[in-house]
This record gives sequence, structure tokens and C-alpha cells, in this order.
Amino acid sequence: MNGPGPAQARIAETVSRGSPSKSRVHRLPNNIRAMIAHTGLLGTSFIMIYPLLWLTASAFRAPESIFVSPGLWPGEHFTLDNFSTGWRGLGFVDFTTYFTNSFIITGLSVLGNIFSCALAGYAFARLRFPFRRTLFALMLCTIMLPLHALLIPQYILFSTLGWLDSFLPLVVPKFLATEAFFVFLFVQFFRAIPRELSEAARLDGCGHFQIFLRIFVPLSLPAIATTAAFSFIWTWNDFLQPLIYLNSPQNYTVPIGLSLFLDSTSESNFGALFAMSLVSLLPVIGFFLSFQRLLVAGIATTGLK
Amino acid sequence: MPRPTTKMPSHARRIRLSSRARESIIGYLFLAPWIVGFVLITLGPILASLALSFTDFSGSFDRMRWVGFDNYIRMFTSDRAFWGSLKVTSQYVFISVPILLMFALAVAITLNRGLSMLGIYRTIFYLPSLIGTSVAIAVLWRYVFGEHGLVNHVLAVFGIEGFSYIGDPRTALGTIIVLNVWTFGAPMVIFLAGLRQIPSELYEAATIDGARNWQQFWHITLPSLSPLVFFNGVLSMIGGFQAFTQVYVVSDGTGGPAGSTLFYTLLLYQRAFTQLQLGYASAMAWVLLLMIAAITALFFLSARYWVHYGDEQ
Amino acid sequence: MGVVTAYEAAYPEAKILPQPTDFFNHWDRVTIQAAAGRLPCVPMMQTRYQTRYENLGALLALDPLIEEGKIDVSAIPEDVVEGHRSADGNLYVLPVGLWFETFQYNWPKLEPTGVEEPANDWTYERYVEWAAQARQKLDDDVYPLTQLGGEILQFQQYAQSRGEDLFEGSEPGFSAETLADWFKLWDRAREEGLTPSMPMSAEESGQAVQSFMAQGITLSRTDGDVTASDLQATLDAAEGGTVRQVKPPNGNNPLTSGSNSLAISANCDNVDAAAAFLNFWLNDEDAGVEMRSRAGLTPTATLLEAQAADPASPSTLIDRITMYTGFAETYGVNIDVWPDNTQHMVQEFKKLYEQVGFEQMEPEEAATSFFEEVRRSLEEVNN
Repeated sequence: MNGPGPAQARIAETVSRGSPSKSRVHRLPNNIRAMIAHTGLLGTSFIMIYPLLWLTASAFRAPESIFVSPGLWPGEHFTLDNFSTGWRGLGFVDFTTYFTNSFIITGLSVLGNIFSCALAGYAFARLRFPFRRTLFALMLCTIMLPLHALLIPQYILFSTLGWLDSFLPLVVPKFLATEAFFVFLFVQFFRAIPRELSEAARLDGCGHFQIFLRIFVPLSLPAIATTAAFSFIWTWNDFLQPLIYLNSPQNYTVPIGLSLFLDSTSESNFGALFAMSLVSLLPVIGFFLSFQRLLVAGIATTGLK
Repeated sequence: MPRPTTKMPSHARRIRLSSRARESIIGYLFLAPWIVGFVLITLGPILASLALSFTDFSGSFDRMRWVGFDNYIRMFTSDRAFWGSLKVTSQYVFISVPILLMFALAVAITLNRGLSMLGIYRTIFYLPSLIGTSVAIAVLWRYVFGEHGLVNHVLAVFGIEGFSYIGDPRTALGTIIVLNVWTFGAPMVIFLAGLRQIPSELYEAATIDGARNWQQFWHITLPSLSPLVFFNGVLSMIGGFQAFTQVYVVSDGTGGPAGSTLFYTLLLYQRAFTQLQLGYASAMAWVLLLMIAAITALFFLSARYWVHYGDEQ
Repeated sequence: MGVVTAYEAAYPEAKILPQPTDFFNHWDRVTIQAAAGRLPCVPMMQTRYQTRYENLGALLALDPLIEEGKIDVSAIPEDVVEGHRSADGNLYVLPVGLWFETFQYNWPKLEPTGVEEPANDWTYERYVEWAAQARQKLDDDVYPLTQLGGEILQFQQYAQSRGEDLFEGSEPGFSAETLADWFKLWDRAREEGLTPSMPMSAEESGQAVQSFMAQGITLSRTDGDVTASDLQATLDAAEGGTVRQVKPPNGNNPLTSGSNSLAISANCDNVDAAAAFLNFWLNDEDAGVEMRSRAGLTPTATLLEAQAADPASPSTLIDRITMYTGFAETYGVNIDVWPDNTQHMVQEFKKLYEQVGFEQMEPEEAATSFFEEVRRSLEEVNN
């Protein structure tokens, strides 16, 4: 079987978008099927979205009234104060700094993960070299050891390098493919690409780097988009590593800033916590929304050159 | 940074090297960032934790002693909490991972049918994964599964009197499993990406042949998606054994009630940081690694029977 | 936080790098920093945690700095300072905030029942009788007591009222019988409907604002003195009543007090600056006023008086100061430094009581098990 050419795929995509080909053999009319699907999805959606609605409602409530009733409407307790007190934060610096830091660390992590994990993924998926299986197994082992057991040795390593209280311990490893999850993800996506495609390109005199760049990368946009989205979300939400490696508030990320609202030994401010949690979700949701265009694009609109 | 090296024109050496040797060199060039990271950043701490697992390290290197296999022996012979956590964690993994995957796959396939508002659904279904580990969840989970929670309000309509599902040791683990399944967004997104990679003409051909929906699912969707089913299976299993944040947040770090949600990694954390038995915690980490590696190996051995790659036809 | 700003304003050449974080994350970070020999110069300590870092040799003995006059402790009552001394004879930490547990009850809900108001010298046996009387008069869905069987701090009060304590040097200070009695006391209270059911109690959050008392489910609870204002704010929002506080039920014994404190790390390369900062925090009036409420009551007598007299001080702070000085005068104060590994005992205690309450274990068995755990744990630490 030949791999889908750009034109073919584009046509196929248009066809399947217009009316799902699978439904043609089914007895129920399309609109009823769609209604059933929508009803199910809407029901599930409510369960999925309820926490966000609740979080939103809580963010607009006076802090002391948050735990009075679990309803979704702030009513008489409506306030915007949580956002202003929240943004000022409890450390020395306000959330402008936390957000800037989070954006820098997260942005670099996304780039680093895509770049290094795609390269490693290609090597494991398509190239033959000595110890390939052993190295692959070793790579998988690195995600099997719980993080807590590695914290102290890693801390000593980065402190010896003089990297403490900087972004380096959080960013440099991402450029060195230390997140085996993404390497493995790329391997699985690359291996799904028919071998004939790269064979044909080799006959045309393409080297491995050209094949990687001009065939595998365009065909794996969903994988790249997935890696980008997950890197963004996981780095953005990461708590433990920034907590340990970043010591001065000028370097703190958003989750650490959030944790300061909840000190169990003194007064807490849940209102500010929920307001800032909500604000900190916005970039993540925004990134996810924009990345999903890439995901939807799939192979159809990328094509081969 | 390895970028310049990978750009090195491969035909420059074509004359002298066999194609196999050349491929090896290129392979290592592609792998260069990973190798550097592995040797410089990952390997050291991993070996250090292995070494520490044979010591009584408790925060001071000056007073550390080698204790041989004592930590491992103690774990298997006299630590009741260890066995308890192993049981809790295995139940959690073997119940929640299959449900999670089936749910993620079902939703991904439903969403891939070209329904309108697809993007909105996808985002909504991913939302729980975005907030699944925040403190707000601990609060919310009480509102849902507590004595006066949402679930009991719904049950009361049907005249059923509920109880506190979070507070009862028989059901507490169940609520954590629900929480995990609820955050099915990550595997769903990966399945969706994979579904997009299946060439549409496969379905076209099948439709012309008169294949029914479930036949298409069985003969086209599932085989084409099998590398990602495999991926999600392995990674969800590993993630399940290492589950920490959710249960830490929901149980206030205690693993309660009555130890019924004391997961392996939570116990490891308590041993390491609450009790400062860092050597013992390292040993626990290595036992977990060996268990996960064994199960992963079984996955890989089974893969040849059910995982179909595009590069082997 | 305010202290650092004030200090930097007073000494512009000094550069302080604060590392703020919340309580439990603080200890995770400090543990890692201590193991790597990279503690900050002035780490925050606490009576329940300091022994670990003292034992590790991670902290600097402060006595020489006090003798040299670099740190002035003359304004802190001597028994408070001495209460922080380590078993090895050195003083490693100096308190900046004192806190204590209180028994908190909702007065407007108790008053109509006509049941007598709790007093400072009560014991837990008395409270259970009190709760049984209140039970007759209260609405069915309000419980007089919060379930405290799993709270080691409250068991400590109980043990003290029996002339025992949690720790006695490097031995458990209580008997297994006392502990079994404690477990049975709460089992009985629960069975008589004086506390919420076991699953319900296991679900309760440790946060005052989310507690059953804040929601009007229980009439009383116990917690640190500082949490009462959070609790009151939540009750106000629901017009749910007013919090009153008394000394935790240990009879006529001194008030058990813990502290947040400052130390100087052994790996600090600028001890003089660290000492100057500590001295500033302990003695500067502006700093002291800034510090009010967040980390406990200042032990510095002059600062405490200044705060009590300051019209800008919130009324809840003034209440706490009045309460603390009152308890201190009548009963005395006992600074309660715990041995290492006690956070583990806090969790283990809770787990064992839950096992008793869920009928997975007999009270005697759980009591013996905890007694042995404490003994073994203290032995390990002292080796």
C-alpha cells in the first residue's frame, strides 16, 4: 500500500468530514445519531466542567463565604477583591513576576522537549545502531523510578553545578530528552509511518536528516502538538521541582505563588487562592485551544513536499 | 547543542564507511542530546539512589553506614505498611487503568466522527486533567463524595441513604479511582492524534466492501491505533504505580482513612521526608522500579501478538 | 515577610534572600537542603521539627553569639528561651512566634441549652459529660463535639491531665492503658452520638474554614489559637455564631505551647549578618508589629506589650495576647519541644484511631501498637 499523498489525503479528509463514511451503512439517520451522541457528550461535559464552574464561582465569592454553600452562584457574596488581593500575592513580588517566570520556563521546556525528544524518537524508531534495544530499555527505566527517591541526589548534582535558584535545573534537562514519556510517544508515532515513504525518499538521495525533517516531522504534527501541549501543561503545573530549585520569590513560578495562600499554620486566603488558580488556568486552556487546531489538522493539511 | 552535528552532510563519508556503520553514526548523532542528558543528568542520581538503598542514610553523609540488604529484608519481612501500600496500589492500577483507557478510547472515537462543536468537547474533556491535581480538587471531592455531598443528594431523590465515601475505608480508594478515570484527557488526546493519522482511504475501502461499524473498528481502527494503545497502556500503568499527587491532595498527605489510600509512593514519601529514612525509601524506589520493569517487559513481550506498526508489513 | 522589608529598610546594605513557602513544603525543602549541606543562613524552625536538624548537626549553637552580645534575648522570658534548649545542652533556635491549642466552642449555640460554659481547668472526661448534657438540648443534626480520638495533640492534653505526657526524655511519657482509655472515651462519645460518625469524621478537612464547626455541624473543636479568626469569619458569613476559646483540657497543668523559631545553619558563611538579622527580628519594634498574627505571638515581652497597646492591632490578636498572658499567669507555660520523627507519630496516631473507630482493631491493641512504635522510634533516633 502506498502512503497517502497530500492530494489523496486532502480529498479523503473532505469526504470524511462532510459525512462520516462509517454511518452510511448504519440504519439510524444521521441527525438522530448525532443527537444521541450530543446528549451523551453534553451529560459527560457537565460532570467534566462542574469543577471549573465551581472554581469560577468561588473565585468571585468573598473568601469567608466560600465554604458556606457549595452552590455555583455567588449571589450576595459576589466580589472582585479576590483578584486584586490575589494578584498582589503573599511573597515579596506579585503575580506578574510569577507569570513571567512560568512563561519563560514553560516556553523553553516546550521547545526543548519537541526538539530533543523528536530526534531521539527518530533514532529509536528508524535507525539501526549497536545497543539500540539496551538504550531504549534504559530510557524507559528512567521513568519507572519515583521522583522522590531522586530528589536529593539531583539536588546535590545541580547544587554542585551552581545552578540553584536559577531556571537551569528546570530547563536544561528538557533540551537533553530527559522526559522519556515524549521520546516513547515519538517512537510510537514514527513507527506508525509506513516504511515505504522513507524508502522512496532514500532512493531520491535524501539523507536521514532530510527524511526526518521533510517526511517524519510533517507527518507527525499531531505528535508534536501533543508533546507541545503536554509539556506546556505539565511544566506549567509542576510544583515540586520549582519549589526545590527556585528559592527566591523573584524566581518563583505560579504554582509556588499559589501555595503561599494556603499556609496551614496561619490564616489562609482561599478566595485569593481560587481567583489566582482560575487566572493561572487561562494560559493553559488558551494553549490547549490553539494547539488543537494543529491536532485537528492531522495528516490531511500537512502533506509531503 | 547537537544541532550543527546533525546537519553534517552524510554523503561526505559515504565513500569510506559501510552503510551499516554510517547508520550507526547517524543514529548516535540523533541520540546525542539524549545520551548527554542520560549520562550527565539522569544516570548519576539513579545510581546514587541505588547506592543509598544499601545504606541507612538519614540526612547526614558523615554518619551514613552500609547496611547491605537490610533495607530490602526489613521491607519484605517486617514492614506491614509496605504490604498494605502494595495491595492498595495494585488494586488502584489494575482497576483504574483499563477503565481509564477504555473510556479515553471510546470518547476519542466518538469525538473523531466529525460532530459539530468537536473542539469545545475536546477542551471540556481535557479540563479535569488541567485541574486534577490542584488544591481545589480536595475541596471539591468532599462536596461530591462527602456525607453531605452531591452523590448523596442525588441518591436521596431515590430514597437511598448514602454515607461519606471519602471517609469510609471501604470506598475511599474507589473515589481516588474515579478521580483518576475522570482525568482521562491525556490518553484521549493521544488517541485522537493517532486516529487522525489513520489514512482515510482505509475506511473508504472498507465501506465499499460493506464492512459494518464494529468490523471497521476491529479490523482498521484498533490495529492502526495499537501502537498508541500500547503506549497509553504502558505509560498509564507506570503512572498508576507512581500515583502520588492526587491522593496526597485528597487525603491531606495521610493516606487515610485508616491507611486505605496509602499508596506506595505516598508511603515512600512519608518514609523519606516525614521519617527521614532516606536509605529505606531508596530501597522502596528500587523495588518499585523492578516491579514496574517486570510488568513493562510483559507488555513488550505481548506486543508482537497485538501491536501493528506501520514499518513492518 | 514584613520583617525582611523592615530590616532591609533599616540596613540598606544588607541583602536578605527570603525563601517563603507554606508549612509542609517548607519542611520538604529544608530536609533536602540539610541533606545536601545547603541550608539557607537563617532557616525557619519549629518546636516539632527542630530536633531533627539539631541532631543532624545542621544548626549552629547560638550560645556564643548571645554571650558576645550579637543577639539580645533579655526581653524574652528566660524559661521560654531555656525551653528551646536541645538535649545536648546547646541552644540552636530562638522563638519568634508562640502558639498553643485552644478548645473552641460556639457560644450563641450553647447558651440557649443552659448547659454550663467550659472552663480553663477542664479535662476531656468532663467534656464528654458536658457533651452528653448538651446532646439532650441540641438539634439532632448538631453534634456537641468534633471527633478528636485521632488527634495526638489532644491525647497529649488528656495524658497531662492524668499526670503523664507524650514524651519523657527518650521514652514514651504515657502508658498504654491511658491511651487505650482515650480511644475508648472517643468510641463511647461517638456511639452516644456526641460526635459525627466515623466516616464523616475521617472526611473532615484540617483547615479551620472547612471544619465541621465552621459549617455548623459541630458545636466545638480544637485547633491552634491563630485559626480562630478564620473560623469566626466563616461563621460570620453564614451568621453561624461566635467562637469562644478556653485552655485545652489538661486540668490544672501549664499551657502547652509550641513555637516558630529562627536558627542559623552550620553551613552559613556569614554568621554575623545572620545573627544581626535574628537580633533585629527578635527586638525591633516595627518588625514585631509587622509580624503580628502570621507566625504566632512574639515571645519578646516588650513587643507583645507594644502590640497589645497598638490601636492598629486587630481585635483577634489582642484577644489572643490577653488569653496567652492570662494562661501564663494562672497556669504557667510549658515550651514543648518534640523529639525527631514526631510528625510520623502524628500520622500514625490518626491512622490507629481510625482503625479502632472502623472496628479493624481493638483499643488495647492499637494503644500497645502505638506505644511500641513511639518507643522504637525514639530508640532509633537516639542511636
